[in-house]
Amino acid sequence: MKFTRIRLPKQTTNRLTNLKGKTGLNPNVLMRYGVLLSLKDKSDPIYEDQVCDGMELHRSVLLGDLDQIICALTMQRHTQSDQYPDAYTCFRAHLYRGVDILFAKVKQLADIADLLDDDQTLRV
Amino acid sequence: MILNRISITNITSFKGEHVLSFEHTPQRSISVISGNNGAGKTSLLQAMKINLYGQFLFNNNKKKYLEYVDGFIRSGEAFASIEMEFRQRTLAGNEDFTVRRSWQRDNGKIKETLLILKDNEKYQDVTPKFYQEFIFSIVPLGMMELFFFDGEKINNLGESLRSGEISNAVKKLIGLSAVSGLEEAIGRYQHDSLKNKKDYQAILKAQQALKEEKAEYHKEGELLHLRFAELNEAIKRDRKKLGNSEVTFYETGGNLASSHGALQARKTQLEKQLEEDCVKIKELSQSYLPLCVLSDELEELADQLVSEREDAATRIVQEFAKERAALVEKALSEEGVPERVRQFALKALEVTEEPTSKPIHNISATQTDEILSAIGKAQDVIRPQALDVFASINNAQKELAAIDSAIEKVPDEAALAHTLSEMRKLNLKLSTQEAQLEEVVQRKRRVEGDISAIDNKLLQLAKQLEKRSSESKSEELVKRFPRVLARIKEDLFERRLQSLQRLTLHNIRRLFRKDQLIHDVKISNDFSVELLGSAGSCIDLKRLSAGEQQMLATAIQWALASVASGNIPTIIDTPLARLDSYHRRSLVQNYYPAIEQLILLSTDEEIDSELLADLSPKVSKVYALQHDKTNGCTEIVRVETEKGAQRSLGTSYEIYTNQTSEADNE
Repeated sequence: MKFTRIRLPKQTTNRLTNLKGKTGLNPNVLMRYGVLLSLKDKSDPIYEDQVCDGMELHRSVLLGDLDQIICALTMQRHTQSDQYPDAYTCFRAHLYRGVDILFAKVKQLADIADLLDDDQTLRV
Repeated sequence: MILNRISITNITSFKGEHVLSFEHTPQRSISVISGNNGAGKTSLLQAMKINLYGQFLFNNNKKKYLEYVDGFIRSGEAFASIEMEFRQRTLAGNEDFTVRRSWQRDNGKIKETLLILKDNEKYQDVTPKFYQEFIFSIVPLGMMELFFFDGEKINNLGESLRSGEISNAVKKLIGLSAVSGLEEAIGRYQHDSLKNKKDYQAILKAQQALKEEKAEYHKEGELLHLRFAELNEAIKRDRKKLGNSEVTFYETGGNLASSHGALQARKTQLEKQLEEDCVKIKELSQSYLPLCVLSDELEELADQLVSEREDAATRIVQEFAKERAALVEKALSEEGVPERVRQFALKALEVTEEPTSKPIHNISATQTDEILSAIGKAQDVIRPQALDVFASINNAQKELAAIDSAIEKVPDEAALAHTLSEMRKLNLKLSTQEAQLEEVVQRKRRVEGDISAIDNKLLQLAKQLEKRSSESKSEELVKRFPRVLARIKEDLFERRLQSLQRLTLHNIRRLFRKDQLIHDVKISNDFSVELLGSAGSCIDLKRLSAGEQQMLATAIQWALASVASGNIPTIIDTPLARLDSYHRRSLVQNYYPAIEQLILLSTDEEIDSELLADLSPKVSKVYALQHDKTNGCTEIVRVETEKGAQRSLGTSYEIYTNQTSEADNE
């Protein structure tokens, strides 16, 4: 998966800004949660191109220490996919969808607990 | 009073101590002390008088008395004493008393000491201050004149009976002193009762004052009771009001208002903690926490990566085996090893194992390790940490929600202010009322205590009043006493006087030679004696000879002694000096044996042998006073009674006599 920079759509950027306001988490961390959440979803994301007129991030900022593992997980997921666009497209599709999922699920930082794949019910 | 013993030390011509015992029996009741003129007989009589009366012999003139004592104490001696032991009949029976009067010369001054002993121990019933009074109660001063007398000087007894002291003694002798004592006691009682009346009035006044005081206290108590009830009611009312206000206060969240500060503090604390937890979550999110949203996927990836690493190793071994097989085949071919052997060798070198998975990642072993390490760290380290922090956040949020909810309920201060102000006012009012109530309770207790104290005082006063009222009943009775006593006294006096007259007349007839001339004796109320001749004519006493006057006085004294029931010894100095033989015999035969205790101080000339023969059987003790002119000392010699009396006083003589006392019969 080769890319150094990524530009996001306006909506995704807005949602990330909104989420940052709610959770205090930086957009790059939010996007990591988003990608991973999307990868967890067994359905395929929408691989359509979108107008990317939002924020732009450097790969190292976006993925940080999780670069290798997120790439590996993306690759792992798309070997099982019927539609197999290139890895970057896959990643991007998962990123957009993940931010949407996150936006829907997270209203505050504590909601992150609900995202953790765990048998324990953390929240009452 | 019966004289048992007399002891004199350093008195006049008696040098050192001399003891004379007068122990006697009813049959032998006479003691004789004989001696020449100047031997000390009168000194002995005087010693007895001084012993009993001290300065009262000199009209209580101490100076005159001490001057006399100075001469009475033997010249050159610093110490002198007189001691009389006598037996006194009392209600308790016979008691032995000793009167000891001693003197000590010191720098020209004489110090006198009077001591009374009872049964040879200091008499405790009377304080030394009243010793003399005690002696007077036994032997009044006037009685001495009647019983310790000089025979030559007794002839004016008829006259001296009227003098104050003797008159009193006579009254005592005839039993009037008892009535007088009773009168005196009643007088004292009445005086005391008058005083008691004053006391009674004072008690009544005090009682009245106390009752008034008690009434005042009762009033105060009632007022306090009312005040107590009033305050109690007010406190109940205000407590109810306060309760209602408190309910209102709680209903409007007033209790929260009170805990608002605490809630706020807790909220701040929780918010701080929440902030710290969020920072931790952010830090964990920067790390591997996002990976924890996956679990199956991570396992699959790990399995895939491990499988790919193993497949890679298999492929390397296969390549190596192929290279080796090629080299072996070349070498074996060159050596010309048979095909079958070559095939066998190549078969042995063949690696049959095949890769199990389709490679996806094609990453290096290092990368694989990094990814596997990250997965392990995420699952084993980061996840538990995050779960703890999220639990903490969750709890804090819940608590904060509760606090916020509570804080939301906190009413508006303005709304609470009225209730709070009312509650404060009520609390203040209640504390004031409770303090007042406590004060009222304390005052009530004090008042009750005061009333109780007054009740005690009243009870004591009531007892005193009861006592006084019983006394006043006695007083009523006592009021009648003086009249009754006066009548008794008159009656007794009359009867005793008649007895005295009768006994005197009886004695005159036994003693007088001229008894036929005297038909009657009249002793008037003032104890003046009249002798009545035939036809009731009055005999002038001055016309009687000195001897007859002495006999008359003796008859009266005898009568008095009879009336007095022998309560006192008779001591006669020079008993027979002026008398003729007839009158001497009369005395010896009639008068002397009739006296219960008689001590005669006589010269050897006074009693002749005939009289002595009459007297001898009645004599118990005989003492002879022997004066030594050379050293000016008198020795007292005890002489054997029967023989001594004969030797000293003459010959033995059978006597009869026993005059029965009329007073005893009465």
